[in-house]
Amino acid sequence: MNRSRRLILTAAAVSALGITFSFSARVTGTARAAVGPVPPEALALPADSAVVMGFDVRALTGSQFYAKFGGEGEPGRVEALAEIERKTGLNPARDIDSVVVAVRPQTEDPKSAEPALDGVRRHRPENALVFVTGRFDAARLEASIPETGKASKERRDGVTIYREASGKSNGAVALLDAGILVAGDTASVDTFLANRASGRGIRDNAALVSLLESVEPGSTFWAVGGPSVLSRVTSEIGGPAANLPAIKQVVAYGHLDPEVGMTATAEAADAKSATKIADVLRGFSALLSLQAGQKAELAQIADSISVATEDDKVHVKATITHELIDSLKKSAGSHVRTHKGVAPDENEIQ
Amino acid sequence: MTSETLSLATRPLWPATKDVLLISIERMLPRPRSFWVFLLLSLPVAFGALLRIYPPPGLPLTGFELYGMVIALFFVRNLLPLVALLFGSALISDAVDSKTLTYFLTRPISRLSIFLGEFLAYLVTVLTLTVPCVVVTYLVLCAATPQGAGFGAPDLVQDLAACALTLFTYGAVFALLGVSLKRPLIPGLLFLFVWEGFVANFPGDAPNYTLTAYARSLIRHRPAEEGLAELFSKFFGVGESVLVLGFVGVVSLALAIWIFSRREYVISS
Repeated sequence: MNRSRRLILTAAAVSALGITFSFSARVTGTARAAVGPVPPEALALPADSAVVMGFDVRALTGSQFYAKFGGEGEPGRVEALAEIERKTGLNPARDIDSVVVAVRPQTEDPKSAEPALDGVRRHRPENALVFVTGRFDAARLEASIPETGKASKERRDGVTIYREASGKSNGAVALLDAGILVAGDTASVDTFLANRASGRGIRDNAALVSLLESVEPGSTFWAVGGPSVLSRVTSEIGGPAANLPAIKQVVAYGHLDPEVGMTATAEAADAKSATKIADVLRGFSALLSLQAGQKAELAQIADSISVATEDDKVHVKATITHELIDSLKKSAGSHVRTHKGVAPDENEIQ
Repeated sequence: MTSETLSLATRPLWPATKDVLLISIERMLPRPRSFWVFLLLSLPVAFGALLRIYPPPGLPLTGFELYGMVIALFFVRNLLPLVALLFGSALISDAVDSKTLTYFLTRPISRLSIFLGEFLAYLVTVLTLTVPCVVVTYLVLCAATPQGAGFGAPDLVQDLAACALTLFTYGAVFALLGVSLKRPLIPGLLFLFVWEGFVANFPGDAPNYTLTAYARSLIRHRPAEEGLAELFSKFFGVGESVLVLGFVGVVSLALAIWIFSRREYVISS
């Protein structure tokens, strides 16, 4: 074999090996792998998200819980899904598989801050970016969007972007591929598309990745949050919560069948703060037990909540049976009727 | 000997082209010029390795974004046209200097076969030098980053195709320059750095008349332009860019073959 052939073969072998390695990394490696419950396609969500949460909509709408309590005015009705249905016409039970919501902390702009009416300084709403996977395409989505929500359409780099046409808001919906859409304000959607092209996103935030990876696989709903939003939440709630020590981060997840179960782990600044938070939660549970005389179900709820501490972490677990939710719903209904002065069976008679 | 017997004796196009290709590769590839060009093309690999070993604090770019800058600005915009100029413009003059043209012209092969064989040898040579450098640059900059080596794998393949098309088009244009002019290097450099370097960033339709505007449009993940280039840079669709570059390449190649087949070469002994 002469020199030129050896050179050509070496160059071809190096190139083929490199390309094969890249594609094998794409198929098996980090590029394709989901981070916790966040699907690979949603990894372009902003790295500076303060809260990331999601629903497995298929599991939710297919659950016994949703069948019992998912109707209008029922406790199991998820308003976020109802909002998606109102804006896009997509039916959650039929068209949507999963929803991931990333909330970015809004940088405070002193000029545009809302005036303090009651002495409490108000913040502008956070930027929420909603990532939806399901069974829909551009034609289906355009046909589904209600007449009142008609939008201008733009095609860019293979992505169809619908922008709110009336000028009342700066909302945008980007249809990435058949079955994947991203909705939010224009800047957030543009950030997502830029991240998608450059490979940036959630993976760049190691702390957020670590929180997401601690979510139990198969959870129907989940949420993780960092300090920037949580500290604001506790300071704005007021009352006893305002005196709670600052929470650094929270991971919460749960399921709906055969009973509603939720697990949350909050990390405080130190062990002392964690104990204080646990004491407040135990006090809340004790208050529920004290009211058991008026409502027997409250004692069952109090019994279902367990609070434990581990160094600077507080673990909270709650399990509520469907029967308990049903009886709470009935007693709440009778409470409303008593206040309105309506006889228990009057509705049925009419 | 009649013209009829001469034409019968001429070898068929492809076997003759293949013979010219194999002989010309031996002349082009294992040469000092190829070695220096390879060193130049390997610069991003060394730069990427340094960056990975000593990462500057707070670097606002991911590995894939850096790779995008290297492929768009270093390879496609500057180095590959220069490589095409060095090899393409010397396609026939090198064959004259090394006396291989004397050998080919005295054999029963058509001038079309000679030119096609020489041009294919040019393509094999420059691709042998370029493709491993692009692939290794990608791996050095992207492997073991948060995005991973797999993230841009489809873009890597597209970039290699873009590099190949860039080398084909510029190579054909400079081969035309090489067979048309006695000293093609200076006009070639002026074309690259004055016409292609400036006009591609002019406002209006001026970029339509440059090759670099179409070549850079093939890099899907190109970095954002800055300054005046950001205001005026024009980008085209991938299909349009491939069509234009392919058309210019084929037309230049056809013209170069036409000129070469009619030109008389005086071979000194």
